[in-house]
Amino acid sequence: MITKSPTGRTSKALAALGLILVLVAAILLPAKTTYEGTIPVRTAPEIRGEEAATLTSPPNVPPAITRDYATKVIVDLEVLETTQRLADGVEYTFWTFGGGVPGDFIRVREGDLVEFHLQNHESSIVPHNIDLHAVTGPGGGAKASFTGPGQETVFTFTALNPGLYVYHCATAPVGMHIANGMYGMILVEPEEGLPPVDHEYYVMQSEFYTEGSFGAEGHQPFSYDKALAENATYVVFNGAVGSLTGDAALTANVGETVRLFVGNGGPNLVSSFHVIGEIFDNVYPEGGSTANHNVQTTLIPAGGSAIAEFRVDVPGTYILVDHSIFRAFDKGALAMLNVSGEDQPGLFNASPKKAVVE
Amino acid sequence: MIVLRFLLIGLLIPLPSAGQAEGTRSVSTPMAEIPAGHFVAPYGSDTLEVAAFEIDRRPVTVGEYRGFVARDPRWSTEGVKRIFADENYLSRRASTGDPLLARAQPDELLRPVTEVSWFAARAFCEAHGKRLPTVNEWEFVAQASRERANAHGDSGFNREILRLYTLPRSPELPSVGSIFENYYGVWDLHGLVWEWVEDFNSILLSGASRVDSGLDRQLFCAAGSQGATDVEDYVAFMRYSQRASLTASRTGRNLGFRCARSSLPSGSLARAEAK
Repeated sequence: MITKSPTGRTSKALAALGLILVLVAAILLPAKTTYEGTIPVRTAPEIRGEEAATLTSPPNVPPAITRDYATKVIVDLEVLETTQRLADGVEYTFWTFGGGVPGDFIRVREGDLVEFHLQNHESSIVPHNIDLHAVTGPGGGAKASFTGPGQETVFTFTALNPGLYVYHCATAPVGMHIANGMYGMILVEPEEGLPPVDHEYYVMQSEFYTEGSFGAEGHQPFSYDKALAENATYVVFNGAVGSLTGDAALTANVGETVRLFVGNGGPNLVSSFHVIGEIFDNVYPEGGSTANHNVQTTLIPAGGSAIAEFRVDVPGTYILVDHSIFRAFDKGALAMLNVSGEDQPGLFNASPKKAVVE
Repeated sequence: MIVLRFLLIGLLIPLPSAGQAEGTRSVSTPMAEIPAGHFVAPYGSDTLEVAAFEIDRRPVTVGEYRGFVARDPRWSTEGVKRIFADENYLSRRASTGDPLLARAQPDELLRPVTEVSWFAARAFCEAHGKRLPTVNEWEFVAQASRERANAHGDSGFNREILRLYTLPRSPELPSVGSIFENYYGVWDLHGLVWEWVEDFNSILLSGASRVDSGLDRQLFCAAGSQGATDVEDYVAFMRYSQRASLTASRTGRNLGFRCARSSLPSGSLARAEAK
């Protein structure tokens, strides 16, 4: 092997190479979170082709995006005012994005140009609109999407920032529109995508304010007084008491990975989201880009979100709750994840002494 | 009692027939006299003056509208010009060519007519020697509860009318005269159908005034609604946002109208005095 002491010529070449590397790094790794000096207004990336967005109702999530380029995504979302079950024997007249609460899940890629069509069903009593927190632009699209009964509006936006974002109606009276169920979520996947997992689920907490007390039967009208006092009658996941329990529970098998897209529609309460018996391996607090690890309970603001990821190691039923615990056991904020598979006595053993005796 | 009276009115409405010419007969809806007054709209702090006027005691019914269309085929579903009414004009209710309507039961005739455009509502009122109420006139009458001419700020009344909009709806609208009669003897201003007003879009259209930006704030949440004079008046927000969503040829399944008329004697007097 021939070694050669650096000459003046090679050190110059090394310096030039270093400069090139720095320049390449500056181009490849855009400083997204620093604002040194004057930075130009961001421009939309080149758009190739177009496609219709696949929307899903909860707890389902549209499939991961496999594209490695930005495209034009057409979203069709219809507002429907509809009377549905809030709890056993209890009905409520919901205002919905897509026919249920929470509204349909939307999935796009960072840089996509979204052409958003908002329809308001002709049977609606009032006009509606949509404010997507994923929108960079006035009102999050609220004013541009103001839609009377039987009408449709269209606006476009570029999904500049990746993350998990809440959308909601912002028509006056805003509180009532949200209290009646007008929220959902849109995921803007980062350009590099999300790591693959075995299951992705859509869970959104919110609260309802009814004239009757919790469980009072029949159709329950919205209570302005309770909403103003932030005295929720119901705190629920996915729009109704028991929407994710029993046969409707989320499922996974031992050894699989689960990603929960968790939102909080409010309108008032902050959620202390917790899964009894699990520890989140990764949490992206507030739906942002930085992961926290080994988290027991994560705080989700009203109008905010979190992405929680974990591997299920031990079979059994895991209970999703708002750990403001009276909400869980007395107001409905309880969902279930059923994990099937072989017992893992080395990780968890419900009765080790009994096993020894036998 | 009141329903019975409307039923009788309904029976008086002439059936449509081919030979009927324009303006042969018209049945006049009973009107209530509203004395001059003033009120504060929920979007601003200015006191708005309203001159004395008369307003129909209930929304125009399917039966009445059917009579109007029979006399003036320009407003039939076949005759109407598309620029004056969208494709859903009378699509479910009052079409003269509709065999279902020809067999309509009296209770159908007493439902409020909907799926009419602003142009059509205006034409109906003109044909009856009336006009559409202005937004200020409509809001002025609508602030009356059963007992009080001005229930503005009465949280009990606000809650009651808000409740009307949180109940499940049956596919068919109830008859006129079925919600409640207010202080002036005017029925159904809340909870039955939205109603056209003459200047439904004037507030947003003028664009530049302080009042407009105030309303804008109320309708879209970006800047909040802390400027509202009565944050409890949720239904008022719903009405103003509903009007803001309209264009003149629009029709809607929950959108009807009633007519009004200026009180000429006192109005003329007031104008003379002003000069």
